[in-house]
Amino acid sequence: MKTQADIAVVKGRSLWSEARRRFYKNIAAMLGLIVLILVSLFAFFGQYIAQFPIDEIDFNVIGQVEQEGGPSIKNGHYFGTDDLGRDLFARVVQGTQVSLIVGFVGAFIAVAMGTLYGAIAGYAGGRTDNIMMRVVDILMAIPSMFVIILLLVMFGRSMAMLFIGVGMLSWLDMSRIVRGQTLSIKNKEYIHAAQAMGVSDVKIITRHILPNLWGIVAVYATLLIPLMILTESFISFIGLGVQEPLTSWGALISEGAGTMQYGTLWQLTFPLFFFVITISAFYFVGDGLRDALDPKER
Amino acid sequence: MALLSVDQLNVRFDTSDGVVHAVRGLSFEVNASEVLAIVGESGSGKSQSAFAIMGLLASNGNATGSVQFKGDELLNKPTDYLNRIRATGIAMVFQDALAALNPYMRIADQMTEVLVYHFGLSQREALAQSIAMLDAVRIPDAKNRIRLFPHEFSGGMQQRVMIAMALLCKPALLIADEPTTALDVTVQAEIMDLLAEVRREMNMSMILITHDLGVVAGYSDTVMVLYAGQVVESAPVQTLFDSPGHPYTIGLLNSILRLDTEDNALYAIPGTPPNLLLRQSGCPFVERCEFAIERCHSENPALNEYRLENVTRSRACHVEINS
Amino acid sequence: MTKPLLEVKNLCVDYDIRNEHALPWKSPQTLQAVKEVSFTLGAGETLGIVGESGSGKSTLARAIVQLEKATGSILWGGDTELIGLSRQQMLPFRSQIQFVFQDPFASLNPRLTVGQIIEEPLTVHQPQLSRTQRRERVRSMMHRVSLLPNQINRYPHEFSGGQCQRIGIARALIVEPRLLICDEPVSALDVSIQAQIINLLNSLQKEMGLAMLFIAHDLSVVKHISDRVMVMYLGKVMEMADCSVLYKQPSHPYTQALISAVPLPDPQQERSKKRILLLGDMPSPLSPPSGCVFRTRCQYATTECATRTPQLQSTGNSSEHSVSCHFPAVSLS
Repeated sequence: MKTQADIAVVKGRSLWSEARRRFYKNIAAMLGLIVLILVSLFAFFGQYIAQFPIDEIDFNVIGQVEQEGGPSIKNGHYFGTDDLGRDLFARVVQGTQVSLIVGFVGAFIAVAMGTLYGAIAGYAGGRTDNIMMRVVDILMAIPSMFVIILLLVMFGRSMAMLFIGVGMLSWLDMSRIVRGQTLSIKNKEYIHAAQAMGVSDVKIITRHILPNLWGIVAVYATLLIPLMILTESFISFIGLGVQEPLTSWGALISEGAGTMQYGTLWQLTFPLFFFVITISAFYFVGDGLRDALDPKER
Repeated sequence: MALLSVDQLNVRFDTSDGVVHAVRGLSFEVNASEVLAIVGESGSGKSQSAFAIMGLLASNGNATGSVQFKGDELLNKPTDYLNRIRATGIAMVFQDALAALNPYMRIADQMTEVLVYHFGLSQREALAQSIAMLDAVRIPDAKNRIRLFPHEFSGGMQQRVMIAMALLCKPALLIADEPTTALDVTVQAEIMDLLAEVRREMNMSMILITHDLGVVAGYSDTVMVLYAGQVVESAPVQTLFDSPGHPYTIGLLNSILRLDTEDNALYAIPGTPPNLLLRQSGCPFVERCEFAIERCHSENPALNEYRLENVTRSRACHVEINS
Repeated sequence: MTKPLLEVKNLCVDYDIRNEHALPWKSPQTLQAVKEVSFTLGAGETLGIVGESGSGKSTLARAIVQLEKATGSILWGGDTELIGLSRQQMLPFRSQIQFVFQDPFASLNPRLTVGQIIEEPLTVHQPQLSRTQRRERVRSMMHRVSLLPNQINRYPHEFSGGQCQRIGIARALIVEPRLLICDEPVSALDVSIQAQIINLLNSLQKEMGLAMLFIAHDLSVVKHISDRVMVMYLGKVMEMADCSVLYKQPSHPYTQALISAVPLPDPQQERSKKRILLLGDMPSPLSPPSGCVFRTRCQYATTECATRTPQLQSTGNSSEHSVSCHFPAVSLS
């Protein structure tokens, strides 16, 4: 006698769904994820709460920022104002937006280029691999920060240039990691099996190699995003980042740090707070992903 | 008094999928200069019981019961206490010799380290003893080859090096965990002969863990068959091969690939071992057993000791079997 | 006489080995992994290939499907030369020659479901089939290898080693090949499961009229499945004979050593048995011994063995029994 359950097709649990289950059990990683969601909500919906646009100067506080510009619910400046009397809440919302976008887009460029380049080099092997990786070595020898600064100075300060500069230089590490991983996957028997049955190279890369790379790529990407944010912040901090009235965490921290001695400490603490919790949250999530995707490594 | 006596050893692992009961109620004794073979498939708990005895369980593992070596309790004791017993009392040989040796250290350094640590020998004495031990496991040109790194040896030679390291402190008991599974047949025969020989010379006891009943025949005194974490049968080796008393042992014996029969038909035990995450009420072997009766589904048989033709043996089965 | 399905003549596979520390313009060393191997295989026949690791048996298998660059001749079906075919030209033959691998887990892509794994050869070789037709074929194939068809959407890690090997066999047989190459298909499995897989392969072979190349490092595994057995050592054929002849009258000292190394599952016999031990280690394939490659480990070797290379010759007691040794069957007397 067969029960209904025997006949019905059993649904399998993929490695991904198992990893998801392990991730959900990781408290630190889940906390990080929640923080990231909250920060993102803040970044993209905060502007509807803000009482002032980012570039409007509040003439009530100008000139007496230290006394009048502090954080208060009453006058609508929840985070206070900056040195010029502009609403800091609106500016932090905007800065978060820019920093997150730079982080995600930069990491995306790095992941896309690095994965493709590394997978091709690793799968092709031999001389092709050798030449492709030596190119990476040479590019790595160029001081990246110097190149980004040069790009921004030569072609002017723009978001696009920032993305290109940051993304173009961070795919190098990614391609090395992916290449190493591809080399080890290439020697697995299921790749031999696919070759023996005549599956084309493109199919082997897209169907058998890339899906098995996603794990390490995902982990590395989550660690790359904060790195992108840090890079952008540094560039903004030295005054080469996004242009006024747009702003970013780095620019805000830079301004806040500049006015510390006047007692307007909130101008530093609010952007710094968001900066620190977001970066830590990304690292927590990255660690959690790594543990979830590779349970043996504990 | 027995050299090693294990009483009601239970090993369980807490995994994200649930609790795995890897070993359940394992009890046995090893006497001086006796060879006990523990036979079972992967997942039968044979390696985990050895790890539990050595105090080497993974961090999510949990052992209860009692393991006594020369009367001293070993289970769940602190590492520095166990370290004194490891090597000098009980040593272990693993399946994958290359993984068990440190790839960045010369054999000489790995061997002398043990002697210096345990006996406080001088470097010179330790080296001399190490070379003597490599000679004993028949590594040619031991004097020079002791300066090599592990990967510079062939698979069989690596296994010899590991055996030499295990024997350095002249342990009273050697646990060999699948010592030949990763090796070619010709090398397997050499290593098994070597183990038997040094065991005799040093008058050592041995626990031989393997999945292959064929290997056991020539090299053990007593055989204990494990299935799904439980002992299903235990008997002197000749008795077990002549008149196996448990359906699983019978199946295992019949499915050995052998050269000495004309008949090419091969018996296979149907099905696969049970999932240890799901605890069932009946006999763990019931799904694959051709002798199973109603009672086997509801009641897990206990291991019963009995005497047959003047031989004491034990088995865990509800059904009377005449083989 | 009908044409043999596969005729291999003087097959050689060379690797160029580059020393990591060598200067780039230095010419690489040559490693001969397979040396002048010849055999024929009829339809529905099984040839067992036995040898230790490093004997070149897996390389030989990979060379037959052009995954290694080889020289010599591989004649398929009596009329098609496989060596030198382009990838495109080789494609139709790939569906007729299928592989089963050693490691049941590593040979299955962990990200694909069982259904996707088994149907992959169909998507390559019979692209005209619709998705439902493919699924139907997969289900019936799963049934034939005793897997429950309702598990079609499960992933490899949810199966045991034996079941994974069945998945690998289903994948190989779904395109109805004429030759199945099994590269140590049972050596990673437990004893009770080994017997299951061997019986399964035996019955599928009869049902489908498959020819098989069955590679193993252990003579006992091969005995239960082969019609003929070929023993390899350091890339060369040492002895080839009908299965029944080889086990009764092994003529090459290496074959004798392999046979005596198999443990007997009987305590008394095993303890009283006299074992033929091999001397030392297998020499490096980069610098094989002169003359007979086996002489360094052979207890009967003479000076002649070092100077003259023995050829594979018929022993005379049967036309199908050939051995590559100057003093065959010495130890039998």
